[in-house]
Amino acid sequence: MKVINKIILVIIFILLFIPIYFMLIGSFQDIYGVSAMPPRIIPKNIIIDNYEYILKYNFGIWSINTIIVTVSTILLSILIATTSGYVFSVYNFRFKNILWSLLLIQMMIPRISMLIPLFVIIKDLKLSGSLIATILPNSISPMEMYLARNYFESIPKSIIESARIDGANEWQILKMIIIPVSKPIISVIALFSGVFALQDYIWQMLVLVDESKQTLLVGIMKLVMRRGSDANDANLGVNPVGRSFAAGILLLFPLVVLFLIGNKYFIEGLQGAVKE
Amino acid sequence: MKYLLLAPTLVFFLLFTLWPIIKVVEMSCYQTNFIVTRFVGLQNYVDLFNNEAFIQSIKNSLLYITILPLLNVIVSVSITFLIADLSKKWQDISKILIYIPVLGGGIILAQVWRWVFAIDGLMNWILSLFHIAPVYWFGNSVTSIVVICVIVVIASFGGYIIMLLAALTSIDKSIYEAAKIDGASDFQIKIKIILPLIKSTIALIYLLSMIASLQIFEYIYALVPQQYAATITYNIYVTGFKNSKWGLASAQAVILMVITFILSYFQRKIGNESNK
Repeated sequence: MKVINKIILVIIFILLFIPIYFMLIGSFQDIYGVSAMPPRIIPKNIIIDNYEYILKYNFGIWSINTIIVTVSTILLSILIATTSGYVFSVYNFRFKNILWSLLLIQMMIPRISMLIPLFVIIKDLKLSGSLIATILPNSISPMEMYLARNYFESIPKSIIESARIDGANEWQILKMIIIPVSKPIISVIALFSGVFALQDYIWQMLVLVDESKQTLLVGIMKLVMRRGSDANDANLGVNPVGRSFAAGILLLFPLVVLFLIGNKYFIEGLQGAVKE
Repeated sequence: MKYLLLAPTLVFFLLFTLWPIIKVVEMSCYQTNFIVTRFVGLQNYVDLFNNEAFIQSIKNSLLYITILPLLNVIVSVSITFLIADLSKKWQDISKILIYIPVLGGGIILAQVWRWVFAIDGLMNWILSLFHIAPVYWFGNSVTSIVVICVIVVIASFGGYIIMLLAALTSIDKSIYEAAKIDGASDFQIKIKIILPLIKSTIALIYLLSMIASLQIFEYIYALVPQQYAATITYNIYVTGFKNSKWGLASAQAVILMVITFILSYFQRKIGNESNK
């Protein structure tokens, strides 16, 4: 029984990784290599032209921009999600429940419905085309606030109460009790927001017009992006398929690294979303 | 203290959640391309009823939300049952492998899907082995939508499986034992006992997948040459960002917001009732 399970599962994984595998080996082949059918399972002669084509443009600046956007989104997300999650789990105040539902409302609003007005708001705030415009709106995430509140609710209230009785003020409680045990939830928020920032193609593409302000996602895609279908790639004399594969691999790489570094917390976080 | 901690969240909420929501409703009552702006009341909404592209995108979106959530639930529940019977080591590795396609979701893996479903691509080569004539996958509505559905499921079920596995671990093990002693088969236990116990997680996955299917954008943007498979989200992008009809795009964004709200409301209501 378990053997059959394992066999089926392995087959599913092989099917899942076929596209990624062909993307990887295709990125190291010339146009005849990638368009050969039956597909080459082992590449014949390895070339790095596809990567060279992408790397010779503004790869350095785009990488720096990507790091700036990702790190800032992560830091701001941590600030917002932990503070609000903490306040809602520990304190009582008027309109608490109403405010909480309002904060979570964004969960049920499709992203594009926000992006249309945000594009205008960003213009009004004179932030058009800047990296800040891709950072700020992504830094408030109801999902992360929800996970943070759940996490802080699980810290026994009695510990906080007894610290208060012993004369600790609110800042001391935060510093001595809460922050030391917050590493798991901070990691979860960091990973969620980091992955979001690295995948956010639509907004970054719309906002970052200037080439020197673009992220890897926007810049690389603009180099290799072909829309719709194209049956005549080989006639162009260049290798758009191989280049687009190389682009995919270059963009997937940081996401996989980020995920592998924190996969324990990432999975914990996804699981946390299920708990009542 | 609590107000100080809550301040950043409130600022971000007002600027990047509440303001956009109000702004989009306001924009939907104007005709504007940012050069000429004119108040038109509800005229944009009236115009949409005669807008063929919009009607088509509504029809497509309805197709997606009928097919995708169901497909996602069936696939993720089946694979979850496969994984759940295995040892912890297998489970941990599965969780990592199954999530990697999710990381590449959207524009990144679209690069290789284009090659798989090209006219001279992998899929048509496989079909040719069975003497089936090549299919122009993105040449009409039906095959475009089917292919997009398959691609979307592959890029999303990993996250759902992790949530389902978490829900399974919270089930009391003695239930299995009791059922086994009573002579229930493995399959019976899964269908009759375990499925009802993880009903609320399944309902959550259904809801998440429903909202996600309204938001499909990158695959259509990168793969489908015409509006064959357009979702409302894609149509809003075209109307606003490409054709600069911002009022019309905002009206669609408001309609999409309302649809999502209604769907989430009913989904929750049904979910709550079945839990009683």
